[in-house]
Amino acid sequence: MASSSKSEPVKIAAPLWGRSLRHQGVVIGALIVAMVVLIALCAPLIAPHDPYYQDLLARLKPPVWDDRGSWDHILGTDHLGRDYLSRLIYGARISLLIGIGAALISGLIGTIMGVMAGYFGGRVDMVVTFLITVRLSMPVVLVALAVVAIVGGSLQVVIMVLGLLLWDRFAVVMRSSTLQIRSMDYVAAAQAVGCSTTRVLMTEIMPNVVNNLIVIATLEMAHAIILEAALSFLGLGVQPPLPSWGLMVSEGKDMMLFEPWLITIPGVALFLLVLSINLLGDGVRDITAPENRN
Amino acid sequence: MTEVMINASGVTRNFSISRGMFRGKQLLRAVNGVDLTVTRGEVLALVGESGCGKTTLAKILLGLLPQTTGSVSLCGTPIDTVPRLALARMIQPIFQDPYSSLNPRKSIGSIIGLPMRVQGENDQQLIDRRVEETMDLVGLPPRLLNAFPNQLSGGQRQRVAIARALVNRPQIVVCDEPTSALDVSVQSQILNLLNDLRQELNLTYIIISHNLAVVEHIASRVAVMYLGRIVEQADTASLFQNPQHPYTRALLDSVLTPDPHLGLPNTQLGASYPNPIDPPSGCAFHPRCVNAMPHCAARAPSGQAHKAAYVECHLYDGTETAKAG
Amino acid sequence: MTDHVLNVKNLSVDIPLADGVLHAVDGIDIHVDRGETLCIVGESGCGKSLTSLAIMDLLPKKAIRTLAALDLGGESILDYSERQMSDIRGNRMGMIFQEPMTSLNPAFTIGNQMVETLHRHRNISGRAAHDLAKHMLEKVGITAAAQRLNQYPHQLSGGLRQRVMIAMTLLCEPELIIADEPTTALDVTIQAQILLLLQELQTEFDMGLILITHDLGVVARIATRVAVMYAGQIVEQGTVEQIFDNPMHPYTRGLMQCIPVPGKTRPGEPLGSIPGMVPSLIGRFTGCRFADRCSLVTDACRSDDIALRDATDATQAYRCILDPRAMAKVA
Repeated sequence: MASSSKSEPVKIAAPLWGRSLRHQGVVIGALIVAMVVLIALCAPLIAPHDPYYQDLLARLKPPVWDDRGSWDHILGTDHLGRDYLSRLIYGARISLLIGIGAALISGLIGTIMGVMAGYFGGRVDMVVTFLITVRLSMPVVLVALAVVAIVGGSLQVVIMVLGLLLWDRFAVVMRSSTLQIRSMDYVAAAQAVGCSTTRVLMTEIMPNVVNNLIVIATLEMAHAIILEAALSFLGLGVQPPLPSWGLMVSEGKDMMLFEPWLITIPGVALFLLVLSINLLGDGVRDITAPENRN
Repeated sequence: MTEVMINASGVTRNFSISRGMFRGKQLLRAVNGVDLTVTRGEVLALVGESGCGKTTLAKILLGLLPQTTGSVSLCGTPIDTVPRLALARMIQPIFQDPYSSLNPRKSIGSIIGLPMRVQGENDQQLIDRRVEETMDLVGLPPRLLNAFPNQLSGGQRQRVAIARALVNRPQIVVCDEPTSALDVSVQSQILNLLNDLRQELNLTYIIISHNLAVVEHIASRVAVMYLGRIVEQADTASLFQNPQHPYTRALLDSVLTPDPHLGLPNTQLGASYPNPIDPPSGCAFHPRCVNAMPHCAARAPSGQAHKAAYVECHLYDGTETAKAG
Repeated sequence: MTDHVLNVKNLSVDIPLADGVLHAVDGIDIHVDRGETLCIVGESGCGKSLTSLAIMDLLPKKAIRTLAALDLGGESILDYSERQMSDIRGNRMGMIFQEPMTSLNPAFTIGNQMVETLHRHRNISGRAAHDLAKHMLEKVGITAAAQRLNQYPHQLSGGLRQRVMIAMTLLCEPELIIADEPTTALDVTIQAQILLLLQELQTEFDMGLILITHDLGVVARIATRVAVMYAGQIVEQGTVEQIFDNPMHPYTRGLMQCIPVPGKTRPGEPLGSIPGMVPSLIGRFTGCRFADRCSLVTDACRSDDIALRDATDATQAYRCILDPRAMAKVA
């Protein structure tokens, strides 16, 4: 009997990084995200100026590629004469902090709810499904605006509010993927060998839904970054003088017709960051799926 | 000598099926009053069409589903009082689909070692040794220890599932269609392996299968299920040579043995399998039965011993002659 | 030659993959006559399903099909356009798949779909189409046919769905039916009924039937002729009696010994088995594809490609260089 399987070859899995390198989305997404993270971490080292220093004599300087621009302020200055490049660099910190913070909080809430609902079903599922429906019937921006208006805007408040509002997609996706994994025979096998419920959840269910979790986490991170920008744009997010990208767009909107770079630069930065996070998330899902191991 | 491994009496399992928000619930009796005794070293086959309750019964025996009423005892202890880990050391499953029974994120070594770690074994060397021993037992080369399930063929995967079931040396193994997802040439290897292992480790098997040729080959006793009840139970040889219940006869007729000189059988099972939510009155088999009598629709037959078999059919409980006389 | 309903010469299917070209089907010749059932039997991955899809020109996009001849009812359909092929499929060439749910549209009633088929292929509509559909459902043994016409596919059981599928296939009175594992998803009792139905209808309508299956029991009971496939090639073909009573190829012999047969194999005794597994078909392959698993293998088996050769009776052919007498001694 043993001899029968001897000639059967084992296919060796391509290493994870090898598969990542072959995936264009991951490469592009990872490069941009890594760059933004690096910029955010090293902001004090690379920012040419103090992002809060106002030089009213050098207001609304255009970027260097404009005829009137100078190398002193590569991306020009804003309406208070603050160096735009430095503000953009420090703004990356705010955006990433909000994206990661909100995704962590909402991910924790949504995953617990979704996995519980999917695994236990019955009453638990009914309650969770009801909560998801309630949450989906609330307009995120309006609720966030209202809360921030009452509590007062600050970085922490924005993170908390977004974290407490954006768990719905986590819950929905985690619930359905848990339902799917739960019906697999290996879950029944784990129960039959005597695994406790916690053990089944942690070793059989979670590793197989984590793909989807990563994808949703990146989507929600991007979502939170956009929402923060929107809130800040409406003046109810991060408060000035913090250099948030959304706030920069907001502050530049009055001069949009004459000094278009004031909103284009932070806008493009937002767009690139959100896009690359999404590319990375999609790619990670593709390459970590077990069926792609060989 | 004949140590009773499994004793089930009057086991019933109901499911309530929701029909939507405002329409209340319906009762589905997946298993409906099953009595079963299995002794050590026996291979009991549960056969029947899909929806007959054989898989639900297996889940009850494995402790994965509680029975609604009735009692089940394993090795003389009621199943409800056996602690989870002790139950897992007693009885283990092997599933049909080797593609869904192995966690794709775990290595073969970790899948086979899991039952030991769950039992509280922390000595990694001991686990490794035992895993390799068991892999050897089921014919898996040790180099597959660190492979992942998707790198294995269907036959190899089923061997891994068998190794996982056997690593703690259980006494009873429940095999749910162990070969029906496999190719013909692999199927025979797995059947041979199951046979060898049973003799070597003195195992008791419960085999669930719809493939009666496989059942005849491997089982020592057969229980035929129909709509949640065991309608006939007999040792394999007498069941295959002398089936009593009309349903058993129809099932045996529909086995397509590879004999080109025989044509296709006409099983006479006109109507399709009934909806378990709305079972027929009286004897549940009467709408499809070639021997159906008027009172079959009115009263459910009670079971009795007839020749070497236990049968539940009005043909054998004397009501037929009583009516004629 | 011309009396074949279907004649396929030198069919190959290549699938380009990341690590090379997969030669999934390699030089298949098959033909079916009216009233004849050809069973293509083999294990998963042997190319039997791809063969049927290639005949119907329904291969996945990236697969490349090469053919020397493809004749239906004596006329070559090799160069037919996609449009012409889709007129033939479901009309002159019927198809039945393993899971009828995938070929029935869940959004329309059975009646709708049957009437639509009649309208499209035979230009029959209205009352006449409805009556013909009802007649066909009765023909395949469906009771209360008029009500069934108004039901949706999901309201029917698996066996009923397969009957509906057969009824739909028969609507246009095809010359040829290709059935890919039509009973694998069904219970044994239903399987026998469906096969019996197929056989009766085939005789009645005088159609050719190609049945693709892995179940040797099904093959033995329904086939007129059998083609055994292994690793993309036909390794043996012949009449059903020849294949089962006197198999020539070591693979066919091995398969026969793998299955338990009530009354024939002794319960509890080891069954025969074929060690090893199917070789990878990526890239160029020389020699016998079964060599790695064959107990009678010689050096000559691996040196050159093996051609099909006739057995004592010319209706049987097998792809092995060994002397049949030498094989008989071992078996």
